[in-house]
Amino acid sequence: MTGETPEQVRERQALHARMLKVRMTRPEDAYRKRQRERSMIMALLLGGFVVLVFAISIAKIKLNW
Amino acid sequence: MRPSFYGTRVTSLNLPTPAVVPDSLPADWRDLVALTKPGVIRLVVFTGLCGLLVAPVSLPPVLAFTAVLCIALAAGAAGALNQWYESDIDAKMKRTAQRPLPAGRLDREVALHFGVGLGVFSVVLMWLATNVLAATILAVSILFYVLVYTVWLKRRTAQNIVIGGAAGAFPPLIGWAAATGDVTLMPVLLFAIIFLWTPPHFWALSLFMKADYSAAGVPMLPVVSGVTVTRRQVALYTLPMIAVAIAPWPLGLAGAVFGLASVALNAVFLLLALRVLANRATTADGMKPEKQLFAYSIFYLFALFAALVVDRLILGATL
Repeated sequence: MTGETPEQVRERQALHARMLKVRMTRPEDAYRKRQRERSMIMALLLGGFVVLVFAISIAKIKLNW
Repeated sequence: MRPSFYGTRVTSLNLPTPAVVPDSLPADWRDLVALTKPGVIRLVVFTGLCGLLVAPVSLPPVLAFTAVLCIALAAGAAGALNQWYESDIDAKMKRTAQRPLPAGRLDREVALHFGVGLGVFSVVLMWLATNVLAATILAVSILFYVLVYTVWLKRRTAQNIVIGGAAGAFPPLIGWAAATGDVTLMPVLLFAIIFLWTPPHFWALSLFMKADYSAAGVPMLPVVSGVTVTRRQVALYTLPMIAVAIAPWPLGLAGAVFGLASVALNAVFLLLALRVLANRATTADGMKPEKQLFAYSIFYLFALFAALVVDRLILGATL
């Protein structure tokens, strides 16, 4: 940005960083963050379950169960 | 306007607010994990795995893994349901006050649904992966821990952990049943070892945590009958535990490695139990022998079952 001293640039950047932090600590953001975490874990668990059932089926087929 | 950490320049921001802001956050996955009592699961999984490994029939790795996973999930379910039912007691005890439910980090309904869901899932998966006997014993172990120990016995009698100890003794039986589809003398002995180990283990803990149990109104033996009677009971229950823990060797169900390890481990256990018997302290500060016995009892069970696996798998002792 033209006309700004290095000190003003640093101050503006620091303010911008603080604003982002404030946005991240809003209740709705915390809610969404936790939802995202849970969704990610559920997806991993479901994926793991599918792989496990597949592996169990293969093992049982080999054992002629 | 919400308070801000960053002074007037930032608090003057007019940030958009969504139409619906939820009252409370969804359950944190870490709290759901804490609900399963991971510390207890370790010992349960280990003894279950040992039951599976010492069985004369070996399962394919994926089925063995699934069986152990089901044992862990079932233990987690039982732990979650236990915490759901006991949140009022947990809130009164220093040791448990920071658990997710008494600390208010988790909704009770979520805990109940989580526990029931995990329990049903573990039993069904065990049935699909191994056999109906293992799944049935798994279901019985969850129900026993929740209904018999937690709901029925714990708040009513000082014998709560004597009978309730059976719940923690099921895993080697389940592991064996998962591998063989059968239950014989050896898994019954493994069950009996843990069953008889539980009273000295828990009573050692309840001696130096007596104030906590008393505050919560839980009728543990030291609270109801005093520390002297409890110390005598610790020593008394140690004797049949030792007999059963050594029994597989003379009965020809385990080899000399297990036998010698068992004799050594039990000798130390007896020594520590006698030191507890000789102790006269009435406050937690003077209960070093009790704390030593409690810590050693955990090591004892790990080492005893590990010795059995070494005996069976590495040295090839026949069961």
